[in-house]
Amino acid sequence: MASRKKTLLKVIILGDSSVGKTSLMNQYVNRKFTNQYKATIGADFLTKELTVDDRTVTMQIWDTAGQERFQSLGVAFYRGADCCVLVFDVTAPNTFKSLDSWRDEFLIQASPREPENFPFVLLGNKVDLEPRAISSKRAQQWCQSKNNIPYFETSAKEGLNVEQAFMAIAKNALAQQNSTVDLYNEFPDQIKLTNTQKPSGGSGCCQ
Amino acid sequence: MESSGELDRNLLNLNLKNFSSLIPSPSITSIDTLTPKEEYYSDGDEPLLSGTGLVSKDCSEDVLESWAEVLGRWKSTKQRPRQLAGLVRLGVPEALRGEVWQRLAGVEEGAEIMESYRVLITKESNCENVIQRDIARTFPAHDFFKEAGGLGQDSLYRVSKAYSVYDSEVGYCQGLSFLAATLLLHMPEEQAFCVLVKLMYDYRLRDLYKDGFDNLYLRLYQLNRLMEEHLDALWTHFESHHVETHMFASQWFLTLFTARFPLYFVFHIIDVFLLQGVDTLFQVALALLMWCKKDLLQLDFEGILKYFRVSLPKKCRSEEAAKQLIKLACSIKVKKLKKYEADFIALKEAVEHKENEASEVEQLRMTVSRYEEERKLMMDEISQLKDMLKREVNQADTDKKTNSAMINDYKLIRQRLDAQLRTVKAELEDIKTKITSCEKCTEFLKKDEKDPLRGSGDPIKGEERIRELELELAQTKLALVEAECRNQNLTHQLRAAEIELQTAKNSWPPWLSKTLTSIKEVANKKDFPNFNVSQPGLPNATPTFVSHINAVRRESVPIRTDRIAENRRDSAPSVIKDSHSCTSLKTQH
Repeated sequence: MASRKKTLLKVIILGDSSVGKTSLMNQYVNRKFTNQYKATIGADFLTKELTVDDRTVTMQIWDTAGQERFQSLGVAFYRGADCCVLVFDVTAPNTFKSLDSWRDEFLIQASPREPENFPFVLLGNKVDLEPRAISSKRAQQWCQSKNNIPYFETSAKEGLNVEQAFMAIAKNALAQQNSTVDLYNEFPDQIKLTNTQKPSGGSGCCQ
Repeated sequence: MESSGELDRNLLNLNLKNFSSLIPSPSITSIDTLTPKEEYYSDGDEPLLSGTGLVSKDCSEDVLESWAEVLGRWKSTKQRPRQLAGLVRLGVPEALRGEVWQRLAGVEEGAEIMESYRVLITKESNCENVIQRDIARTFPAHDFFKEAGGLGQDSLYRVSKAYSVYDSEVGYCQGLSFLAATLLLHMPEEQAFCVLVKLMYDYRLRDLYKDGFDNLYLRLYQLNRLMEEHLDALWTHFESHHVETHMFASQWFLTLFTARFPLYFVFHIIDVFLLQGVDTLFQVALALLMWCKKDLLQLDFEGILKYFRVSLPKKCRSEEAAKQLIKLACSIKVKKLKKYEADFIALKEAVEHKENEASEVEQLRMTVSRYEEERKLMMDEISQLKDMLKREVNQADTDKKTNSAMINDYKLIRQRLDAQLRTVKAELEDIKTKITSCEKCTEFLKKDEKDPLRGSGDPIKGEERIRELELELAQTKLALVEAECRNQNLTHQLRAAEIELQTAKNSWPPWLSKTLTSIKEVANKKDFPNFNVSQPGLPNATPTFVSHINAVRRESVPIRTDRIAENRRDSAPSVIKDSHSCTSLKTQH
């Protein structure tokens, strides 16, 4: 059933302001890097088609604003996410410290079926820069403490590890989606939630 | 170019405190050197960089003259001249924007804000890090802000920081820097700061950033309702594709369209916004949606959002398009904002109410489940108690049964005993009457009353008495045997004496023999002729002794009280005395 339909994976990128969320997304989707990105206000997304295990999937990558107060604006995009990418700047310790709150906030707002099994991927970005503040070991320890989150060290600027990281993200998202699909398939009669029941013209209610 | 800007200001004779002579006006110097044209005009997938677009300062003589006239009048009257609105809607000439924006915002009247700026920039802000991170990301395509540590970035940092100190409630919010940068492209820091403060406070833009974006959500709701009102088909299309206003319009509103659109359009929007206020947000948004309605109706969710991100800003690149859009925007009447606001508040209250109710229900549910649990525990206890009581009741039942059986038994026994008692009583009564009628018996009774054994009828005393009597009997028997032995001896002696006597008799004279024979005959007439005759020395008490033995012989047969009583009459007084002493001894012990 799922194979004939277009598989869409929804991925959310979270992390403090200026850790490189937009840059990572653009490096992966457009293979470009520029210093001229503007601060993201609200949320943006890019899509990319890719093949995972001989299966073509479309990844919808949502890029969010990093300032803490914008979290409430991002919430609307969290629901239905298949994977959450947490990003920190390896040269900025504070961005590493915020990871817990980003993760917790996501789990609260997205309220996935099984919060403990929801796939996260951690990216330590800007490894091309010096001096380094957060060691790989420290980041890996954090990942282990969070039910073994996959960890990648990336440089959006140099395109380092970005492809591999997003492939892992896609695989985790797909696994998550399959597990949810399996869950749904346990019920013989699916209830389709489409808009067909809506009145065809909205004019009736506004006059 | 630069001199013409200065000339314009001088021409209009605006008495503004500005440092434009010290700071090269960026809008004039750098706009021509924006991102390469080919990139700006490419229709690729790349979104337009923020802060791009040509803004020509070219302006026709006519327009300049009308502006000069209007501004002159404005100066003298202090009130907005009638022609001003029309002129602003057509777009403020780039060369005049700095001054016109300040006047529209009413900056001259608030000169003290400008004074305070110098103090504010010296103060520390807790938003410094956030601001610093955003500075390089604000209008990065614009020459004026391109350079790290350059004049543009430094001014932007200072203005943003000063504002975060000035308005501690909002502090710094992402989006503000775009607004500040737009202003900085037209005026020096102090003025830019003043206009920013006016925009935030007087034009109520700061409400958008406050309280978890509550006001922003109100604006987005209002936009949604306006879309429903003005763009029915598109609204339905968006609804069916789950495209919500916050997905494309939050950035528009939070930055006053500055972050994504080409500068010419951005500046023109600011012109109109400063002229007429918040309604402009909705007018411009609706104009954009109307303008590209056909395109949007063809697209799905992803397509729509990508269109807003990439295609729409690119469509606004030409001055013509911008002018058209603004004209369209100004023609749109947004009347029902107040109503929609009330609806939003009602909706929010309903949601809150619902949430409250839900939480109340949840609480009640919890209470109920707690009570349910308590009830269950109590029911368990009750069933335990029931079991216990049942057992007790069963026990009591069996007890009762046995008891009643026993009672019945006792009743029967009692009945029997009663009957017996009655018969005994009757018998006794009978006996009594018989006794009373018999004189002998009455006497006997009287005598007997003194007899303790009879009176008390004590069987123990009787038995004792029997034992004593038996003992006495044994002793008596012994005495009898001894007596018989002695008797035998005496008989022997008698024989010997008889033989002696025979021999003597033979020798005796005949008379003597005759005398002796007569004596014998006499003696044989008695019980113990030999004894009496030959043993004259024996005690005199013999008759009593014989009778006593006779009595004992009779006693060895089974005892009967009357016999004992009979026996007692003749033989027992001394023994009774002894038995008395015995019992008294016993009781003493």
